[in-house]
Amino acid sequence: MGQDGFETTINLIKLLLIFLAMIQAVPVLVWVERRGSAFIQDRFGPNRVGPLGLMQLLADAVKFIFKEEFSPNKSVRAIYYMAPVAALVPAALALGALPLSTPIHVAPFEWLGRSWGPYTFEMQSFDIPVGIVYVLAASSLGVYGLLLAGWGSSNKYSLMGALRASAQMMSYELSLGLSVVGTILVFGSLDFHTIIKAQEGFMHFHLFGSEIQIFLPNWGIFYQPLAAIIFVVAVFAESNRLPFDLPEAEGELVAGFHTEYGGFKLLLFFMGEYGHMIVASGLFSIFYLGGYGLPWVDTITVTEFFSGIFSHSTTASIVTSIFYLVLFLIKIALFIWLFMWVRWSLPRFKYDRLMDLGWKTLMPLALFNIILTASIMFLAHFIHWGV
Amino acid sequence: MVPLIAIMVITVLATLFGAALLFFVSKVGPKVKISEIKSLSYECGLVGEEKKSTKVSVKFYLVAILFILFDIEIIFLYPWAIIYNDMLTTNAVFIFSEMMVFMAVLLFGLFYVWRSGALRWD
Amino acid sequence: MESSVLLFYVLAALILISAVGVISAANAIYSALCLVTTMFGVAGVFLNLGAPFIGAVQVIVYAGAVVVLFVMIVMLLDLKKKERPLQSRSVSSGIKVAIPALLVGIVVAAAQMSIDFATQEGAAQSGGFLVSTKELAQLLLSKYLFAFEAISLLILVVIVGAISLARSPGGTHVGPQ
Repeated sequence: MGQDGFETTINLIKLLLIFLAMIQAVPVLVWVERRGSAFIQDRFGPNRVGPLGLMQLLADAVKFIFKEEFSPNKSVRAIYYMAPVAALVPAALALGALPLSTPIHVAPFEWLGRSWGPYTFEMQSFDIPVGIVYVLAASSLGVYGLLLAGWGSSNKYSLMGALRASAQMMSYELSLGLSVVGTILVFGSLDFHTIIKAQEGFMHFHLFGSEIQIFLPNWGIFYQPLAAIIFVVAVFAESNRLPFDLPEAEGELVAGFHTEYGGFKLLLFFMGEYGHMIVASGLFSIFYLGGYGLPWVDTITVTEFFSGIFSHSTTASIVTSIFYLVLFLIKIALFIWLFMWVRWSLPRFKYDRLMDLGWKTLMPLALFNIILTASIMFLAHFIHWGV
Repeated sequence: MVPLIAIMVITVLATLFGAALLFFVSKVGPKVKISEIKSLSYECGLVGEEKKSTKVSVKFYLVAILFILFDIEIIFLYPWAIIYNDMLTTNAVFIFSEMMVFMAVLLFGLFYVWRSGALRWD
Repeated sequence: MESSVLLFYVLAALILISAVGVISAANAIYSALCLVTTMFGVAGVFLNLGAPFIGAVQVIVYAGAVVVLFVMIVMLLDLKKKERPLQSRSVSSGIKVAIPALLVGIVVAAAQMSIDFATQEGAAQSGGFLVSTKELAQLLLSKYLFAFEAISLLILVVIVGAISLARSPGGTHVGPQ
C-alpha cells in the first residue's frame, strides 16, 4: 500500500473516491435515462425540479430517506436486508480493477521540513495481474443479490423472478467469458495495462516482408469484431437491461425479484445495476476501443507534449492523467448512452427465446470465434505473415 | 498482496456503506405502523393463498449444473490463450492441436446437451 | 510482523469461523452463505500466496457457480428449520465436534510428517506474485497435458450423467428423445 504514510493515505483516499464516484454516478445516470427516454419517446422528462430537471434525483433521494421502512410479514428478515448490500458489493469490487488513466508520477518534493520521495500513483484502486479473470469473478457474484432478494421476500412470484434472472445471468456469463478469450488470444495477456498498451498507434501488418500501415487505429474492435458483438449482447444480459429485462419484467412479474422492496433498498439495487453498467462499459472500452488511449496517438507522444508545456514534472503528469481520464469517461458515456438507447428501442425477449439465444446462438458463435482466431494466428505464423 | 488488502478494504467499505445507509434510513423515516394488510406478500392486490410448496421445474437446476461444467471448461481456455502467441514460435502444431482436441470434446458436449432436449423451452 | 503473515491469520480466522458457521447454522440458507464466505477466504489465501489466477478461478467456479447451485436447491426445497445439531452447552455436542476434529488433526499431522515441505520445488513464499500465470500455463500444457485432456472427457461424462439424471420421471423432458 505504499512505503510511507503519505502514499498509504493517498491510496486509501483513492479507493474511497472511486467507490463514491460509482455511487454518485447513479443520480446522473438515472437523470440521463429519464430525460433520454423522454427524448426518444417524444415527451418531456423531468424538467421542473432545478435547471433541466437535474435536481430531480436529489429530490427523489430525499423522498426515499423519509419513507417508512417495513418488511413483509413472513420474510426472512436478515436475508431481506442483506440482499441490497449483496447487490452493491460485486459492482464496487469489479470497478476497482479497471485502469482509469495513466499513472501519476510525483517527483520528490519538500513539505513540513522533510522530503517525500518519488511516488507513482496508479489510477485504479488496485492493480491485479489477472485483471480480466478477476472482473469476471466479481461479476459472477452478482447472482447472489438477485437470489437473496427473491428468497428474502417470501413471495413466490419474487422467487420465480429471481430464479429466472439467475438462470439468465448464468447462461450469458458463459458467452461473456468465451468472447473475452478471443481478445486474450490476440493480445496475449490477462493484464489490462498490457492490453491497453497494445492498442496504441495505427494498425500495421508485415506482409511478405514489407510493413503495411492502415489508417485504422490499432483497436481491438477491428481485430475481433465478432467477439465485440457477442460481448455487447452478453453484457446487456448480464446487467438485466432490456431487451433482456425479464427479471424486472414490469408488467409481467410486477417487478420481479425486487417487488417487495421500496425506498432506499430499491435505490441500492439500482446502484448495483448502474455500477454493473459502468463496469461493462469500461470493459468494452478497454478491450475493444483502446481503453483510455487516444486513437492513432501513442501515450508517449501525449506525455511529452504535456511535459513540454508544464515545466514541473508532477503537474505535467497530473494533467496527462486528467486528459486520459476525460477520454475514458467519454468512451464510457458513449457506451452507456448505447445501453439507454437500446432499452427504449427494442421489445423484450420471451424467456425461452432468451435462453435459446444464450445457449444455442451466442455460445456456438463465441466458440467458433475462438477457433477461427486461433486458426488464423496459426496459419499466419506458418505463412510468416506476422501481425 | 497489495490487491488483497485493497479488495478487503473495498468489500468492508461497500458493506458498511450499504448497512449504514439502511440503518440511517430506518431511523429517520416515520415509525413503522404494522397492519395486517400491508404486511401480506404482494400478489397484484389480491389476497392470495400462501402455499409455499410451488413446484419448480428441474430445468433451472440443469442450467445451473451445465453452467458449472462449461465454466470449468472456459477456465482452462484462459491459460492456453495467454501462451498461445508465444508458443507459436516454438511448437505451433502441438499447441494448436491440443486445444482443438479439448474444444472438440467440449463442442460434442454442447451438441449432446442441445440434441437431448435439455435446452428446450428453457 | 510482516503484513502478508498478518493477512494470512486474518483470512484463516475468517475461514474457520465461516466453516463452523456452515455446520452449525440453523437455517440452511445461512449455511450456504457461510460457505460463500469460506470460499472467499480460501481465494484470499491463494492471492496471499502469490497465485492470483487460482484465487480468481476459485471465486468464479466455487463461490460463483457451485454455491449458487446449493443456494438454489436450498431455496426450492424449502427446508424447514431442523433442530439444531449442536445444542450449545451440552456434552454430546462437545463430543460431536471434538472427535472429528481430532481425527482430522491426526491425519494432517501424519501427512505433514511424511512430506518434507521445505525441499519441495516451488514451495510457496508469502509475498509478491511468485508464479506468473504464464508459467502456470506452460506447466499445464506440457507436463500435465494428459490431465488437461482427461478433464475435458471427465466434464463430458458429468454432462451426460446430469442430463440422464434429469430425465427421470418429472424431469425436463419425458419419454425418449
